[in-house]
Amino acid sequence: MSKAVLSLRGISHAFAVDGVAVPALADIDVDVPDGQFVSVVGPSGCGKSTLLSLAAGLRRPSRGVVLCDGEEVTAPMPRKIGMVFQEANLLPWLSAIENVAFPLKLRGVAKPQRLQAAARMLELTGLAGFEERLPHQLSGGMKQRVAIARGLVQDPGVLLMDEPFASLDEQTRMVLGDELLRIWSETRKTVLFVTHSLHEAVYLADRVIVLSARPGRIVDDVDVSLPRPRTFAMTSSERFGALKERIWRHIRRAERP
Amino acid sequence: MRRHERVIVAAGILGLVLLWEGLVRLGWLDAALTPAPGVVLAALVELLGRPEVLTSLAVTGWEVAAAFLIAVPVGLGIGFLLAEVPFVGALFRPLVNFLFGVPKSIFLPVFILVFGVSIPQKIAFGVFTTVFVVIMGGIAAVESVPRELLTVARVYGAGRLQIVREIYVPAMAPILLESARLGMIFNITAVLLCEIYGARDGIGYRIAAWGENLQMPQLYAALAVVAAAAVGVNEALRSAEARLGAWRQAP
Repeated sequence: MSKAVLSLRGISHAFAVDGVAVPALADIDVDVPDGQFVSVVGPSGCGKSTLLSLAAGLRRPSRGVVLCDGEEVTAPMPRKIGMVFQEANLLPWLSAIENVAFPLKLRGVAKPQRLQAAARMLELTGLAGFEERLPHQLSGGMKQRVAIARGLVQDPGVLLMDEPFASLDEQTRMVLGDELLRIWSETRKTVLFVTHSLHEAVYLADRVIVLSARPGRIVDDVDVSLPRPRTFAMTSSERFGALKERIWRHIRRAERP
Repeated sequence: MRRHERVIVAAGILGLVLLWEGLVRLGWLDAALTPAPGVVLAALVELLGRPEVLTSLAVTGWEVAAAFLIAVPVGLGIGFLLAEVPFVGALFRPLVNFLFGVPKSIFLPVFILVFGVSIPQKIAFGVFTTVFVVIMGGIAAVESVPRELLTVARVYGAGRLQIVREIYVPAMAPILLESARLGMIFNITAVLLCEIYGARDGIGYRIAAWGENLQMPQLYAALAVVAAAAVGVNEALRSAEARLGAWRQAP
């Protein structure tokens, strides 16, 4: 196995709510090897999204360190870590291509170069021909494709995805899942994918990390080991069902009051 | 304005003018109080040839512009402070909200006592009336900035200045222009009110004088000029607003 690109070492995190420390995550240790697709699932409020914002450098953990390529993450590292959110969060006044080019603009890349790079990313995400559309002229699935293109435009090693398909309808969600796998197989990013869909978690990932209820601890680390490319037919296989059930047991236990 | 809207507005104004002309000719309107549009037009041409009338227009224009140029930055500064600094907001926002509801015109006598009947008095009263609208607009503009976009900018490495330039400014621009436009309407009203109430020059002063002397053609001609100027400013700001806010429109 190749060495870890993203490491969470001894992470605990607490939020201050009215001066009281409310623990959100406890004793998280994860090493993600280069190119691995990891899903993170857990009962609602278990700190999945907090985990991602710590990995992104948007917050500092109360305890422990996040390492990316062996370097401690203390602030966002846009060239190494891309991020996709639940809502596409596109800048509504910029066209699709300008949105994709936005991270490059922040870095001071000249306009022709950044638009060229952005055009390539839109092509990769299946949006060639929609470059000049404004976000309000795009469907929910297309917006999320733009957001993925924006996450990849700097060619980061790591892509963090925070329930990126949660606000899409079922069909769009399935299509985008397959699209994400295609993009991933072409780019081989290390992906940390937070979701509350067990089906999605198993279908997409090499490995599923299961968190307990708040404060989130790792209660299981599941090796998916289904062959790739994944197909819809696999979702009705015995192996797929067994994996989903194994994860569901943990969640059900945690969700019970 | 879209083309068909323009046609409707133009046709509406023309229709009103024709109706007016017709009613005067039929004798249903008193020509002494409401002279026919043709008579008003003749008065307008004559007025625009009189240097003292042009000076009055310039005085009013200068007062309006000065009040606007003071009120907008001051109002936006206060609005941003109230919206972005929690301590200042908690302390002063209720007060500003409270004062916003008070009609500003009742303070006019105070401004005359403090500043006298002078040009600074007109500007001060214009600023006083306008600044509240701009403060409210500034607060609304800051609050309209989607917090998620700030997170996006941070994830992609934006510094403070970049966040202001790339997120705050474009997100706020349409609302800022809108509040500047509303402020301008209040501003023009305030300055003219001052001039009509008591002044030594300015088009409002002349309107009041012509009114008192029953010089109705001149009065209506001046009204037409003021209305045209105010509508012109309003439409210019509105078209800028539409251009900068095109992204806000729903599909």
